[in-house]
Parts: sequence; structure tokens; C-alpha cells
Amino acid sequence: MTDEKKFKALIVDDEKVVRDFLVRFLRLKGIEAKAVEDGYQAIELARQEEFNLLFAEANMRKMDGLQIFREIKKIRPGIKFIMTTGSAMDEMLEQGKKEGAIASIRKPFDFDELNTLIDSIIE
Amino acid sequence: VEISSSDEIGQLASDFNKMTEDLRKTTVSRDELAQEVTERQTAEEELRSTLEQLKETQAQLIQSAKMASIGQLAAGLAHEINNPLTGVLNNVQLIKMEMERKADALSPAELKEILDVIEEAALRCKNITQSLLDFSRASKAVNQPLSLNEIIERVTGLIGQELRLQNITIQTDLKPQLPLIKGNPQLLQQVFMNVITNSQWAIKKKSPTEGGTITIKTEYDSQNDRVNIYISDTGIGMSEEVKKRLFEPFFTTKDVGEGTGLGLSVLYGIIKDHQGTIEVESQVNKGTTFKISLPAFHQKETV
Repeated sequence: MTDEKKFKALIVDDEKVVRDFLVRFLRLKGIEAKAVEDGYQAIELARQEEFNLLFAEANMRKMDGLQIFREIKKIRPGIKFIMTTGSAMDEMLEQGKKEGAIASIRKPFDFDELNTLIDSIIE
Repeated sequence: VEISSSDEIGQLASDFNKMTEDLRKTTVSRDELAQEVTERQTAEEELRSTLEQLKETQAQLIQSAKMASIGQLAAGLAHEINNPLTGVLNNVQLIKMEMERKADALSPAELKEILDVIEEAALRCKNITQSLLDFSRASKAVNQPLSLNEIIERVTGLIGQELRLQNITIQTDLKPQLPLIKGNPQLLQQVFMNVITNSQWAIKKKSPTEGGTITIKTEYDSQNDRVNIYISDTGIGMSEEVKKRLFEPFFTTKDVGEGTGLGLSVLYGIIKDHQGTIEVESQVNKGTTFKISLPAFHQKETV
């Protein structure tokens, strides 16, 4: 628990309801979290602030989750990536894992799985 | 036959030999013909089997195109539903987690705020399933005399403000004393909403800020005793390919989450149920006109 303050999450999702949920959830888990609605805003924010955890939806209009991860990795090389998705096909999730996503989780989230995942990260 | 004399017998023998030779030639050419026939039959058979293969491939292609559209619809629907569902399910679980930690973790005001979010998300799910039901045409058919002009005015009243905010002007040219039509006012309202929403999308797609014009015109075609309505926009237009597939269920040119591909196919079904027709004219980057034609209804027809 002593290390948990070290984590700061950036959430990218074009759905407000999802952003709000993840922010509330992560804050309850003691993780500072900020949310934006597209990849451009995410890159901009990642330039200004340090983040080490990234949640991004795989299927978004402007820039998809994987593209966002590729860009943000250049700015914050050590960042851990969790791909979220409401619809993405398995191939996209596979590709995400191949490129270094530590997990991919489907919406609506399995609450216990999400809880365990976050615990394993902040431990 | 060997010819050894020059008399009549010799002549006969010579004729006989000639006939034999001719016969041999005929036999050869008949054999050649038979072979040619066989070859042609083989070729025809090959052609037939190729044609059958082609037909089969075509059927497979059509099937896979359908599957692709259903897959596209499923992906779009999953995305549209899973997002608000996250807002319902995960927020409820979150509240439970907070209350388990501390019974009064949330103030009544905070609780109400989350409940509002949950309610709105659940309503979004409801809207999606509702439009699916519309698609399956579960709504009861109502057959009442209606004024098309009134329906148009109601629709433009409902969405005029939203369009003006997006710099889109609605121009109406509604023919006075237009004969009535017969049908379901809710469904027809949905039809015109759908077409106008499509026009709005096409205008915004052409330029997100510049805006454009949607023109709605009604007229009476006395020759065919039909009431026509034209809805035109100055939007992006569509290609022949898109025009061809426009009313196919699940066909969409929109991104995932932007449209389910149900709108125009629902509309087509409703118009057909009203004994109406719908035609589309479109030019890429110039705009699109939908013409909907419905049979006129005259009061004395009432049984």
C-alpha cells in the first residue's frame, strides 16, 4: 500500500459514462486518474504530466487504443497499458497483447477481474 | 478392284473404285465430325460446370456479404450497448463496494448523482432495443387519415432548433390543400425524422462547420392520385455503390457507434407498408434527394 501513490492513470474513452466510472473506481483504489475523450488529448496531456498506467478503448473513431499506446509509449516509455473494449475483435486484442498490453478487458467490466488486476498492479 | 480391261467392265470397275474411294473419304469425314461433336460436347460440359461453379461462388459471395453486414451490425450494437451497460452494471458494483467499506460512504446527494448516471445509461440501452424492435416491425399498424404537411411541420418543429445550432437551414415548400394520406402517424414521423437525420449527417460529413440546407417539398400528383414529398440536402452525396445498397438492413457507411445501419432499412419497410415508394437521387459532393410517394386518401373512400 505504501507504493500506491506512485501510480497515475490516464484514461482514454469516447464515452463519458465509462471515463467517469474508471476515474471513480481508480481513485477508490488509491490511484490518481485523469480522463480524456480522444487520442490527441491523451498525447497532449501525456507530454505535460507523468503517467504510468494507460487505459484506452480499442475501438474509437479518431485514434484507436493501440495507436494511442504506440504514441504514448514514445513519450512515457515505461507506461503500462490496459486495453478496454466494447466491441473489438479478438485479433485486435491479440495484437494489443503482442505489442505489450498487460491486459485487455471487455465492457461491461468484470468487476472482480478489474479489482484483482488493479491490486496486482499496485502491489 | 484391279482394273485390267478398258471395256465396260473396266469402266464399271473404275467407277466402283471411285465410289469406294468416295465412301472412304465420307467415312473419314464422318469420323472427324463425330470427334468434333465429342469435343464440342466436352467443351459444353466444361462450360456448364464452370457456369455452375460461378453460380455457386456468386451465392457464396452474396451469403458472405450478408454475414459481413450482420457481423458489422453485431459489432456496432455490442459497442453501443456495452458502453452504457458499463455505466449501469459497474456503477452499481462500485456503489456496493463503497457501501461495504463504509455504510455511509456516499452522501444522499452523491448517491443521487450516480443514480442519475445509471438511469441515463439504462435509458440509452432501452432506446437501442427499442429501435431494434422497430426494425422487426413489432409496432401495430394504424390506418388513420393524416395530413402529410402536419407531420412535416411537427418533425421540423422537433429538430429545427438542433439543426439551426449546426448552421443547417430547413426550407419548406408545403403545398396547401394537399390531399390526406392514410397511415400510422408515429411511424411516418419516424420515417421523415430518419431521412432528415440522414441529410443532417451528410451535410456535416461534407463540412462539420459550414452547414447547409435541407429542403422539404410536398406536392399532389393528380394523374396518379399520389402525394409526393421531396427531402433534399446539400450534403456529401453518395456513390452508385452506396445508393444500390442504401436500404439493405445493416448496411452503413458510418463508423462503429455512429449508426447501426438500421435507420434507412426500417424506413423502407414502413413506406412499403403504406403502399408507398421511395426513390433516391444523389450526386457525390452535391447532395441527395429522397422522394417518397404515398397514395392519396379521399374521405368518401371510408367504408
